[in-house]
Amino acid sequence: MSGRAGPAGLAWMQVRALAANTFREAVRSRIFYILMAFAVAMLLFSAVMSLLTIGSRAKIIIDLGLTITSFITVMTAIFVGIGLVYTEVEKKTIYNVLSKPLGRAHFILGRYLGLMAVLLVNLAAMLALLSLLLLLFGGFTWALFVAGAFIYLELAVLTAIALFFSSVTSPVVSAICTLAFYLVGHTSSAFLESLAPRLGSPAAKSAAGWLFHLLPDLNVLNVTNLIAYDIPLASGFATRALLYAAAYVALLLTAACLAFSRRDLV
Amino acid sequence: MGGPAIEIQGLEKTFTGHLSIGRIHALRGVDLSVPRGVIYGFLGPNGAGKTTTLKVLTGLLRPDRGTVRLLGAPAGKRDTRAHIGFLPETPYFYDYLTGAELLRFFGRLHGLGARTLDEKVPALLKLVGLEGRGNLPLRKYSKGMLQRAGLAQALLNDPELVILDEPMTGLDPIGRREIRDLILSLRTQGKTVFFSSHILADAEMICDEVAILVGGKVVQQGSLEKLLGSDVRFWDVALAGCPEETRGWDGAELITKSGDQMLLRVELEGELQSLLDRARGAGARVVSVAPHKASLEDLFLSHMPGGDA
Amino acid sequence: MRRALALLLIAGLFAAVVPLHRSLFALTQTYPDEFRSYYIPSSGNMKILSLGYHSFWADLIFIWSLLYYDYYGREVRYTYLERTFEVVTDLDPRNREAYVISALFAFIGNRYDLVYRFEDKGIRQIPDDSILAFDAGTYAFFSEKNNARAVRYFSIAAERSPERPIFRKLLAQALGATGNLESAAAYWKAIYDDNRDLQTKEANYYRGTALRHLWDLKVRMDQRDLEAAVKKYVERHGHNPGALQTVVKEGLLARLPLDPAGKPYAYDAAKGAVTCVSPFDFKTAYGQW
Repeated sequence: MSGRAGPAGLAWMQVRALAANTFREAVRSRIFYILMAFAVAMLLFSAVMSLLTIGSRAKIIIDLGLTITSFITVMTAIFVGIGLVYTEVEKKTIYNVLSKPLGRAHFILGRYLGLMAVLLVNLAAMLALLSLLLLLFGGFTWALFVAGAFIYLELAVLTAIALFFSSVTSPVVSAICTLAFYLVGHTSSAFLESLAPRLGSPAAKSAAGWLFHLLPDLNVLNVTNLIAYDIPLASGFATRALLYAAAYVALLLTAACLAFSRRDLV
Repeated sequence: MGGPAIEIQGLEKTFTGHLSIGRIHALRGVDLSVPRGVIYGFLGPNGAGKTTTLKVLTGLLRPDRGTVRLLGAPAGKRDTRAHIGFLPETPYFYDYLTGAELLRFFGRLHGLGARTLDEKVPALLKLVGLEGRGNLPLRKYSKGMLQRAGLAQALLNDPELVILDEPMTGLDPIGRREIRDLILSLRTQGKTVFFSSHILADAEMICDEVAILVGGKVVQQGSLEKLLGSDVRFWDVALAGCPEETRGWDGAELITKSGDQMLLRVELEGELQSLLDRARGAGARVVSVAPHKASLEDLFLSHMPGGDA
Repeated sequence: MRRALALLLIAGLFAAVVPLHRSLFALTQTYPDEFRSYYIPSSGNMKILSLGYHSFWADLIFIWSLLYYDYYGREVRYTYLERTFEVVTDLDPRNREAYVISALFAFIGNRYDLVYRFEDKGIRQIPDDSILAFDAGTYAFFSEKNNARAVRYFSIAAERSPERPIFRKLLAQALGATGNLESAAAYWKAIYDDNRDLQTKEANYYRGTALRHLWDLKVRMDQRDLEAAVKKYVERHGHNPGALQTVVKEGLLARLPLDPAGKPYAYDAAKGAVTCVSPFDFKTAYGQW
C-alpha cells in the first residue's frame, strides 16, 4: 500500500482531512454567506453612524466595527458549533467516518479545527473591511489586529463550549447552554462588582469569588475598549490570556472527547 | 492475523430507552463464524438485529457481553478497521461534496497519499459504474448512484473483509446484477464479503454461506448446500390435453385444473416417472416439469412464527 | 388564481400599514414632551447590560443624545442631560468629547453647576488631558466672569501641557483679572522669554502680547502701590497728599516708581488718583523687558 504515513503522521492527516471537510461544509452552505452579508452591512452602517458624531469619527468606526465583528463571529461560532457533532450523528453521515481507522477524539479535534479555520476567514474578512473603512476615513491603527487576535481567543473558547454541548445534546439545548455561557462570560465581572458587597456571610463571598474564577471570563479577553484609545496592554497580558484560553479549550475538548467516546451510535 | 474472517461469540447488546423506560434486547447471544474468502449472507427480518450486529463489527456500538473478532483481531480497535471496508445502510453522505471529493476525503482518513488517490479514485469510480459522474455533487445522485458511491468508498483501502449493510436496496434489476457481479469479483480477488439483506433471491444467487438472525439470535447458519440440500423437494408438472373426466392421478397432488390443462405436484422421483408415463399414456401432453429445491425463502419462513414449520 | 389573490392581499395590507403608521406616529408627536419618557438605565445596570462592550454602548448613547439635544423644539430636554451623560462618561471615562459636549449642552441651558460638574469629572478621569481644563476655564473667564475659578482651571491646563503657550497666556490674563499682578507679570515674563528669540508669527504674537501685558501690569502695580500709600497718608493726615513725593518723604513708600516709558506718574491731588501719562510704546517696552 504505497503512500501511507506513519502513525503520528496518519493521525494528523486524518485531523486535517476532517478539518478541511468541515471548512468546505461551511463555505458551501448558505448560512455562511448570509452571515457575511449581514456583517458587511453592519460594518458599513457603523461608518454611516460615525457621520453623526462630534469628534473622532475613527473612534466610532473602531468601537462599533470591532463590537459588530465580535458579535457576528461569536454568533457564527455558536450556531455552527452546536451542530458540529449533532448533525453528523443525526444525518448518519458519521457512520462512514467512524468506521474508518480513526479515533473519536480525532473526529472531535478535526471538526473543531475546521470551524476555527472558518472563523479565521470570517474574522480576517471583517477586519480587512474595517481597515478599509479606517483608511478611507482616517484613523487606521495596527492595534485593530491586536483586538482581532483577542476576539479570536474568545471565539476559540466559545466554539469549544458549543462543540462540547453538541457532543452531548440536541441543538436547541446546546444553543441555550452556550448562549448562557456567553452571557455569564461577559457579565460575571460586572455582577461580582455589584453583587459582592450585598452578600452577607464571608462564606458566600468566597464562594462567589471561587465561582467567578472558575467560570470562563470572556470579558477579560475583551480589549476593544482599550484599542480605541491606543492604551498599551499590560506586559504579560497577551501571554497569560493565550494560556487561559488554551487551558479552557483543552478542558472542553477533552470533556467532549470523553462524552463522545463512550457513546453508542444507534 | 489468522483465524476466520469474522468470529462472534456470545454477543449481547441491550438498549435502554429514554429516561431508562423500556429496554430493548437487540442481541441475545449471537454466535457466528465466517471463514475467509467466502460470500456470507446475514439474513433476517427487519428488527432482528442485523444492523446492530454490523455496527458492533465496525466499532460504532460497544457490546455488552461477548467477543467479536475480525481477521483475528478484536473488533472496535482502530487498527482492525484499517483492514475492513464498510457500507452502511442507505448511505448518507455529505451532499455538498462531489463523488470524487468524497472518495478523496475517505481516502485521506485511511492515510492514502495524494498520488495514490489520483490513481485509485477514478479506478474505483469506474469499477462501480460511476465513471464520469465523479464531479457531480452528491445531492444530485440518484439512490442507486449513492449506493455505488458507498461501495466505492468501502473499497478504498483494498480491504480483506468487506461488510455491506443491505447493499441492494434501492437498485433496479440492472443495478442489482452489477452489484452482484461486483461482489462475486471481490471473492475472486480473495476477499471475504459479509453482507446483510432481506432480499433472499439475491442471497441465494451469490452466497456461499448464510446465517439467519431472528429475534437477536442466530437460528441457523452454514453453507447453502448443507442447509438447503441438493435434493429436489418436489416437481411441478404442467399437462395439457388431458381427458375431461380426469380428476387426478394417484401419487400426485392436483394444484389447479382449467379446461384440459392441469398442474400437479409430485414429491418422489419414482412417482414423477410413473405420472409422466400415465399422462402420456392417457394422451396428455407434458408442457413442463419444474423441479423445486428447498428455497431460502422456505427455510427463512420456517423460522418465522406463523410460517410453515 | 388563488396565489395571485393572496399576493394582492399582502400588497394591499402593506399599503394600508403605511398611512396607519403615519397617523399613529403623528399622534404621538403631539404629546407634551414631559409625558414621553425614555428609559436610560443607570451606569451600574448599563455596565452589566452592555456585556462588556462599554465603548460600543457609550458611543451609541452619545450619538443618540446628540440627535436628541439637537432638536431645539424640545422644552424639557434637559431632564435627561445629567443622567445621559453620566451613563456615557461612566461607560467610557476617557471619551473627551462626551465631557465637552455635555458641558456645552449644560451651558446652553444656563446650568453652570452642571458645566463644571462634567468638566471636573473629565479632568479627574483623564489625567493627562488639558483641553477640558482649558474648556472649563474659558467658560469661567469669558462667560461666567468668575476669575478665581478661571485661574484654577487655567493653571491645571498650563500644568498638564506646559508646551502650549496659550494656556499660560490665559492663566496670566486671569491672574491679572483677579488682582494677582505679580504672578501675572511673572507668567508674562516667562512667555516673553520663551518667545524672545523665535521668529515665527506665533512667537511674534506672543512677544507682542506679553509686552503689552507687562507694560499694563507694571502700570497697575505702580498704581496700586501709589494709591495704597496715598490711602495710608489719608489715614494719617485726613487729607490727600499734595504731591506724590510727599508719601515718599513720609516713609510710606520706598521710592517713587516711574512708568514704563520712564516718565513719572500723573497725580490728581483732589481725587487722590494716579494715572499713567505715557501711551504704550513697543520700542520702549522692548527695551525695558
